[in-house]
Amino acid sequence: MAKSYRTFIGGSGDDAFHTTQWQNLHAAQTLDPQRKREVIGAIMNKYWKPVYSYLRRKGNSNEEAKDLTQGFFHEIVLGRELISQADQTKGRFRTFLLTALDRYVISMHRAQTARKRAPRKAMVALDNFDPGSIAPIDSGTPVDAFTYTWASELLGEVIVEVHEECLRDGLEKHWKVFHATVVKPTMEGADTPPLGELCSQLDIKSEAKASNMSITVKRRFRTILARHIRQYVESDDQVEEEIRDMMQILSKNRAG
Amino acid sequence: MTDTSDKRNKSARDSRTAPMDTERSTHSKPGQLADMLGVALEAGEADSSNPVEMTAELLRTKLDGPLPPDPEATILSSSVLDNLYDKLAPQSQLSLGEALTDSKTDLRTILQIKNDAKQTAAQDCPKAQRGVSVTLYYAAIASALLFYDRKITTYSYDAVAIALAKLLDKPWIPPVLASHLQTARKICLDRKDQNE
Repeated sequence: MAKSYRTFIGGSGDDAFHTTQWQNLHAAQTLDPQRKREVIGAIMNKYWKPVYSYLRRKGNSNEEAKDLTQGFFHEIVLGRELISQADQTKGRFRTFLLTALDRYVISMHRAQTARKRAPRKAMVALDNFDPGSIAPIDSGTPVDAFTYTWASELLGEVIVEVHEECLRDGLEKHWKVFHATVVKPTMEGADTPPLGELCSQLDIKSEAKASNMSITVKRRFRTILARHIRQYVESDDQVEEEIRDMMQILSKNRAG
Repeated sequence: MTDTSDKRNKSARDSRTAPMDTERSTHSKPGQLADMLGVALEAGEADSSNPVEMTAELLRTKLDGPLPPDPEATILSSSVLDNLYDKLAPQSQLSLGEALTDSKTDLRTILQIKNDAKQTAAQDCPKAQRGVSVTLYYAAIASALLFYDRKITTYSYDAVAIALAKLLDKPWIPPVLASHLQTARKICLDRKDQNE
């Protein structure tokens, strides 16, 4: 059974749970055009990469995928009809986006119409649009590409936050142990340094202590990851489910 | 916000651009991302419904963390004497746990730990946080007794011995701290008998 992720260790979890992506979408329904643009911009800048990856994997060119990404957020994600459907579904935000994206692409003619209908200058621009910053995926389905980019972005943000928290709390050595023994070997395939060597380098008294330091940061990593995921799932119980779901999709492309 | 936290935040901001720490030189493969997500699942967490586990985890993190900021050094740092501040603080590279159990830790640092813990315990805080602060408060009193033969509290030896005994019954006390508190309790009991 999924456990609750509400914990105060590693940060004030409750505060982070106040605004979910669903609430952001509802905020975008405001009549205030300035506020609407801000919300659209924030949502789009947070999620454009997975959507763009999906569309590229569908065979669209760079420019086409960029236009479609903007059109998707303006016309589909932020459309009133979809929001009401989302309320009924009360599902996960990632799945919601993916389902919507699938429909959008299946009825590509609608997307093309939307592109013609909505002049680009009326759209909120994609800030920091740099396709080169997206991890390339050479195999798998468009859904795999979406999930891969989603997970890559998510983990990148979480790792930066874990690092910042460690520095803030004076746990720099803890971070270094975690980075050398977990992040680099897991994310980059680097060799795990012998713990004894690491203890000497970082002036840590024993290997047991170094192991404990790593466990402390792993727990922070889990807490922060859960806090991020909680923003786009409906309940605490769905957090672990979401992690397992992403792991399953990503593991399909283990060789990719 | 104190200058100490300013410095830490600055350090965190600087670190965002440090390629060795958080930036990846290459994009991870899908399987690698799956494994990293798996790290979170395997890590386990302090069960928030279990106060003992929560307190143990919090205490472990505190003991592994830095010493509390030196109030005098912080006052200095708010002036133009930043360079001097850098020389004064941090006073030690030891973690809080190491400082409490190291006989070379100076008395001023021990007093600082005690005062910081007292201040935190007096605040309106969660039960686990309070438990940790009380533990650190008595651990500092124990350190002063053991390393300097000084009673840095107005409580009697009897009262300290009783408080230490209560703490030693707590399941969240790690072995190294338990032995520290136990030795101090013996001293308190001896002194109590001498005083009677």
